[in-house]
Amino acid sequence: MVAKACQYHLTVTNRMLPLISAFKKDLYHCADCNYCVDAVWAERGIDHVCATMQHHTPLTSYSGRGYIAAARAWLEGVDLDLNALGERVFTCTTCGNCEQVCPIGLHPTAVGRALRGELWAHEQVPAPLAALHQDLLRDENPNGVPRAQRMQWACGLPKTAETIESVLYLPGCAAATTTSTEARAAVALFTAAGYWVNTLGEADSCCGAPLHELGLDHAAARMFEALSGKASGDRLVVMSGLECACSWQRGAATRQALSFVAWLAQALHAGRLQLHTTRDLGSSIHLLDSCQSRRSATNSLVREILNGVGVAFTSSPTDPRYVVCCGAAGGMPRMQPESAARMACARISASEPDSLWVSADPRCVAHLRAAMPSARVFGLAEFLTTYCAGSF
Amino acid sequence: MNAVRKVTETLDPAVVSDNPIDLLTYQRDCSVSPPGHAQAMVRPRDKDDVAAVLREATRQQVPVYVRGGGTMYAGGVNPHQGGLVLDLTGMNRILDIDLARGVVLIEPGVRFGALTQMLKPHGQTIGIIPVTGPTATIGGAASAHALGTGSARFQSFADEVVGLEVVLPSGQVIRTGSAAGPKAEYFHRFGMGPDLTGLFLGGDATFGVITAIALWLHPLPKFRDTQCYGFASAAAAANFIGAVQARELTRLVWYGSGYEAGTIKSRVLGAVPDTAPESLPQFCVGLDFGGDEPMVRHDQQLIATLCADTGGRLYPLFNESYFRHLRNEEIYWYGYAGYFSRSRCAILMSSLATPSMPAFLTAVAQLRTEYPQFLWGAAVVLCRRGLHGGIMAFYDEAREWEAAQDATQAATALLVKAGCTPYKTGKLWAEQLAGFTQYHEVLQSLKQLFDPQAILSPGNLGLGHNANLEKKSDVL
Repeated sequence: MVAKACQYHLTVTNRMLPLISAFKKDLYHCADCNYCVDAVWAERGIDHVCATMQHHTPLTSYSGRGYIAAARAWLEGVDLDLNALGERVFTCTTCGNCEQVCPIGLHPTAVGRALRGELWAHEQVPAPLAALHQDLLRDENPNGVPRAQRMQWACGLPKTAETIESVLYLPGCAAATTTSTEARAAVALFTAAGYWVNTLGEADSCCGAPLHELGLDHAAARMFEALSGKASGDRLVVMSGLECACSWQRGAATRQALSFVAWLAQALHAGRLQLHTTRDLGSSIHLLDSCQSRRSATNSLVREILNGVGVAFTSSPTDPRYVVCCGAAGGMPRMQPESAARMACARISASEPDSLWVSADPRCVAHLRAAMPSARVFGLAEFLTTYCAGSF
Repeated sequence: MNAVRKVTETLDPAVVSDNPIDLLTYQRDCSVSPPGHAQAMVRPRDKDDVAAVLREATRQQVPVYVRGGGTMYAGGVNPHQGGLVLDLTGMNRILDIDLARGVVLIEPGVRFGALTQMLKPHGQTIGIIPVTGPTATIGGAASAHALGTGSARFQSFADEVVGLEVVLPSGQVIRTGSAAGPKAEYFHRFGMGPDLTGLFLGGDATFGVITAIALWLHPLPKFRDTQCYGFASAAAAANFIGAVQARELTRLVWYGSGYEAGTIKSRVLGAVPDTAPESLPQFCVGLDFGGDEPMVRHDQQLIATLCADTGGRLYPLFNESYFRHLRNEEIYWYGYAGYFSRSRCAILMSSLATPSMPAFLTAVAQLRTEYPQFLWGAAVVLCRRGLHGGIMAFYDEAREWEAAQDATQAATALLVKAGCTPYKTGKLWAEQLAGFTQYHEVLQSLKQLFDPQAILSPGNLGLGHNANLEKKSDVL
């Protein structure tokens, strides 16, 4: 069915695709300009937009524009190969750069997530992500670590002194299960600032961020409610996971909850923490922004913190509005582990080889370390407690 | 085995896809033109891949649609007869930056954003950067004869090309300009007989596939500044533009454009709501200067005098509320069209002599009357001589797509009557171009010579309609 079949599929069917239907404006406004595919836009500090296009495949069906085209075709009644569609939309890192760069403010990442939601409803989910879903339900973390081991990060930590001011610390799945050094360093900084640190202990669990990335918004919301219900009370909630911070932004905007980065910036600003570098770092420091730190609006805070403690650093990208994913987010690590590792290596290789890399996102830290074990990658708290003076 | 598969079977499977999901993004460009449905997509790595595809496609009579960034608005890449899409974005190497010769040699899939970023550390840039933005490819701009930033200074993309490497439908590879010499490189375009380079510039990939492009380099301007000039009528503005062009005062103007009353009103009143509407000019010209500051200031003074002589005035309000921002932020077509678009924007570009600007705007007024359901916009872009006129119809793609096509076709006829000529021809202008009888007959003869099976981009420039090929595509 080709050649003369030039008509576009403009007759919108009543196909029951409610998640996609919510984005009709995006589907019909997309001008196919390809900014979300591969823009290099020096005036705006954009040096390529999509990590998937750069390091996995150049096929535009894996891009924001591809998701919009597929969603529109599906809605208009085209019978799509849902297996192939699943392979494409679940590979996305959901970094959101395509939404940042879109010149008319469309939401290709959200369209991609809506497609994921529809594919769950059609039971057309790639096996690695169906397995991830099972892991999340079973272990309440995406890393395959048994639930019983979630609090192992805190083993041996001295009990902090009970004071009037306390924080409820939620390290998040990455810091709790794969980057425990970051969680422990965060506790050291809370303590140094005079806070009594509480955790949920065995009751600590995932905030649902990975389910949100998979397109399971309702399930993500339920998981978030379960966690936030356990975190009741007036205590200040602080979390290391930046994707967790995004969950809290979505789920409980009114609740007193901060990312660890935001808490640290406040503590330094209020003079509760006095930090300054004491050791000769011996190598250049390179700050790796993360897509979640852009979303949680913490990129500039991390810069403030490092500047405030006297650390000279470079960063990539230079404009924190556009952060190319390191491969840790979305479906990429499970769907395309080799490409995910390439993305991490590309981020690290963009700076001096003997650098010391710092990221405020524990999920990125874990992923970068796994992809390039020889690289010296630090979480923010870990970096500060290692290289700054203070009573840790 | 079907014909398309025969073409692709000899290629590395990594550069081929026939998955319908992948092909969805190859149906169309940014235009209002109808999409097409290819059977496969090939993303060649080099000219040898291109030659292999063209040789076998010619043998099998399979249509081949050549695509770069896909940011054009003339439908040239839409695969109306099925077949193959040749996606050149994989050929994206910058082959040589030769500061001594002042030439950069690139593959066609290099995007403008990537190239200008690469040239910046050398203190260099290229002459023409299309307004389709950082994702447009050099090959696409050459094929469609782009304009934009640099047009006022350098005229058009074709003027900036030193030479090309082209693969013909037979698979034969040629180099044009001085590089045709067996021991020579790209340093001169003309003087070796007819200008074969020009045959492929604006050729919409109907005669061959461009696989390398040599462009002149230019020093990056050290100083930039924008100014706007307001006029009581389009005729007065046309006189002003003509005077500036005649005195060659566009020499430091990297971008120049003209705007109608509606645009001025919405931009100025949007930024400064208490502006008295009666104080607004009916037409504004914005100029973006670049060069050494004393020279820019000198030219600005001369241009201000010409403005006053032709009844205009400096109009900084439009500069501050719109033009300066537009140029400094490098917002491209899609960005500013999108601010007030209903859904998509059907853009039609034409070329015109500067004195014809009022006639061009009269044609736009007629379109507004005849097709009131669309929001119409118009603007002109200055060249060293003459203008390019852009007409935009903002439409709701879910409801008005077919009507927008009809309106665009009507616009092409009106513009030809007004003395304009097709620019960015693709398929949008094909019908009108076919009416340029003798000229089009020669184009058809050339097409027959280069592409006897009419496999390359059939339909573009109104060429290469091959009934056999269409019949064949039906059964693929």
